[in-house]
Amino acid sequence: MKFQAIIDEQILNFDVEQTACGLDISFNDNNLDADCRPLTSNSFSLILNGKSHYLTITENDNSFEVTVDQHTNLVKVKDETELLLDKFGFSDSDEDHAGEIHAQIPGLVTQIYAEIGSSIEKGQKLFILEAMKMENEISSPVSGVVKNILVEIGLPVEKNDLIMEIEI
Amino acid sequence: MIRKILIANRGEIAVRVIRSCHEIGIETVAIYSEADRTSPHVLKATEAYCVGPAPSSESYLNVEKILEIIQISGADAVHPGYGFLSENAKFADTIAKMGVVWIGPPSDAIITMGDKMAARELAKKVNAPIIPGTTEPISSLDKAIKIADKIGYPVLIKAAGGGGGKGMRIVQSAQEIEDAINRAKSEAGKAFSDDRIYIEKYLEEPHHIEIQVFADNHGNVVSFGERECSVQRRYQKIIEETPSPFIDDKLRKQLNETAINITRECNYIGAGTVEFLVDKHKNLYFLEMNTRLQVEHPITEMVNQIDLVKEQIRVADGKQLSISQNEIHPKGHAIECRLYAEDGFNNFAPSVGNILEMDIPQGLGIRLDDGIRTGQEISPYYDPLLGKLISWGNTRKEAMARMIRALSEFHIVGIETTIPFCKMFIQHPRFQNGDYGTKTLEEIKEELLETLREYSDDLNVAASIGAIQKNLLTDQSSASNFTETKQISNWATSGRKDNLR
Repeated sequence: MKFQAIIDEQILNFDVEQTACGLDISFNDNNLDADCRPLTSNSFSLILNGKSHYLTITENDNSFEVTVDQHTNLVKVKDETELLLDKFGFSDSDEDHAGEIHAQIPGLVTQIYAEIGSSIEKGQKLFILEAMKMENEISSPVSGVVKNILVEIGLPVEKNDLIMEIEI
Repeated sequence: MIRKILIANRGEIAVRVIRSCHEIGIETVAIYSEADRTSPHVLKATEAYCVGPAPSSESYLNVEKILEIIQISGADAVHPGYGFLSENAKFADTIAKMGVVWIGPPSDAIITMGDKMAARELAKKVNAPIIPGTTEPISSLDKAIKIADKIGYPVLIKAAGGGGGKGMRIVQSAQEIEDAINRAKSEAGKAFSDDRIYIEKYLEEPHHIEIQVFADNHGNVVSFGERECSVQRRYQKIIEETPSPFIDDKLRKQLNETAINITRECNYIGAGTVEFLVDKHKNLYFLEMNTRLQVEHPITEMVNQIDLVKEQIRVADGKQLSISQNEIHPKGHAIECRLYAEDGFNNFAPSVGNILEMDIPQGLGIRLDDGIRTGQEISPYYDPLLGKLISWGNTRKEAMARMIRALSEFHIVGIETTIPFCKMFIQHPRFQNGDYGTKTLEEIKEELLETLREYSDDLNVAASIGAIQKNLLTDQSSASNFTETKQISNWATSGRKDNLR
C-alpha cells in the first residue's frame, strides 16, 4: 500500500506492507528497519534503525498531531484512495480556509477591534478572547478584508467556533 | 489540637496540603465545584463536599457555602492554599471568629501587606529600599501622565490589590498610557474586584528574587533562604531555582535580613514570602510580601529538607517552629518547572481538553506535585497550572541534568503543556551558565522556536511512520473492533488460580 505523509509542506512517500510481525516499510524505495508498536491507544514505541523513540499521537481533524521525542508536528496522511482523488483534482485545499479565524480555546469575546469591510494587516489585533482569567489578544494570521464577524461582545464561544472570516 | 482540615482550594496545591495532613494523621475535607467532581484533590481527601457551579465566583470564592461546609464537616481548621481566598482578610477573620483555626497569617498582616501602598510605607519604616513610584492610587489620566513623566519611561502600571501579573502593563511612552491604564483597570477589576492602580519606575534587566520567611507566635522569625524566580512569562514565574546563581553571600545576607525585618514589622505569623527586584548592579528593591504559601515553595523544602505545610499546621496550632535560624543550612540545589496547560511555543496560549494519557517521570531526586490524572478534563474555568516538577541535586549542574532527564521522560497526551518549553529553556546556554534575568525568556524565545523547527529527517520519518500506523489502527478498529490490550494480566490469572485451590 502506498502512503503519503505531509509534514510542514514536505512530502514523504512510503510503501507499507502489513506482515504477521508488524509493518514492512520502504521510504524512497529503501527498506527501513522499523518496528512500531502501540503502547496504548495514543502512544507508540518506534525502533527506527536501532534508535528508540517514544511517540504520542492524537487525531486532529483529518491529520495527526505526532510528538516524537517531544517535537510535535502535524502529519497529514494520504492513503491510496486519497492520492487517487488528488490526482483527479477532487482535493480540498487548505488555502481556502486560511482566512477563517476560529477560537482556539473556549472563552468570552470581550473586545472586537475590526468591522465588516475593514482592511486588516497580518499581525493586526482582531479581538480579545478572555479565558483562564487572562485576556488573550488574537491577531490576524493573514492580510485581507473582514468579510464576516460571527460573534458578539460578551458572548461565550466554544473551542473551534468560527469567529471571523477574512477575505485574502 | 487540629484534627480535621478543610482545604479551600483545588488542583495541585490542594493535593499538596492533603498529602502532608495525611502523613500526620489529620483528616482532610475537600471542596469541589461541579466541574471538579472527579479531580484528584477530591479523590485523595477524606471527605468532599460540592461548593457550587464551575465558575470560581460561585464555588471556590463562595464564602457563605464554604462556611456552611466547615460546619457540616466539623473541620477545625482551614488551609486556603494560594490564590482564591488565601489573601482575603475578611474570610480569615470570619473563620477565626467561628472558633476555627485559620492556617495563615493574622488578618491585619494580610491587609497591610496585601495593599501594595501600605506595604511600601511599612518597608520604608525598616529602611528597606523601594522602587520609585506613587504611594497613592492614581485618580486621573492627567495625573498619571505627569507622574510617569517625572519618574521617566518606561513605567509599570500595577493593580493595587493584584498579583500574578494580572492588571499589569509596561508603558514605553505617553501615547500608550491611556490604553494601558484602561486594560489594567479592567483586568484588575475582574480579577480582584479592586480597580485601583499605581505607577512605578520600570527597572531594566532586573532579577526577581524572593525570600521564604516563617514566623511563629513565640517571637521566632526565620528565613529559609532565597528563590531565584526570574524566568517569567506575562510576569508569571515558570522556572525557579535555589540558590540563585546571580547573587553573592553579601547580597544574600542583606536580602535575608531585610526580609526578616519586614516580617517582624508587620507582626507576621506563618509562612510568607518577601519579594525583591535586584537590578544588574545588585541593588535590591522591596517589591511585595505574599502572605501565603507560594507555588514554588517545594524548592525551598528540597534544599532544607523540611515540610513547610507541616510547619504551617504546627504554628497555626500555637506551637513553636520545629527549627531555629542557626539550624537552617540549605544543602544542594533545587529547580522547579511549572507545568501549565499552555503551548510554550505559541505565546503560551491556553490549552484545554482531556488528558488522554500521562507518563510520569520518577527516579532519584525527582518530585512531582500535581493535581491531574488520566481522563481528566482541563476546563477553561481555572488557572492553567497543572502541577510542578521539582529536581534536587548535590550541585546546580546535577539538578539541571536531572530536570532535563525527567522532562524528557514526561509525556502528557491530549493537551499542550509547558514541558517541552521548560526542557529547551534549561538546555539553553543562558540558563546553563546561570546568566539570565526577567527579560531572558523574551530574548531567546525566537531562538528556541528556531531550534524546535530544526526537524531532522529522521524525526520526520519517525513521525510519519507513527501517523501511518495510527491511521491503519484507526481504520482497523472501525472495521473489526481491533484492540491491542486483550492480554490477560498475570496478576488476574494467578488470582483466579488461587480461588481454585
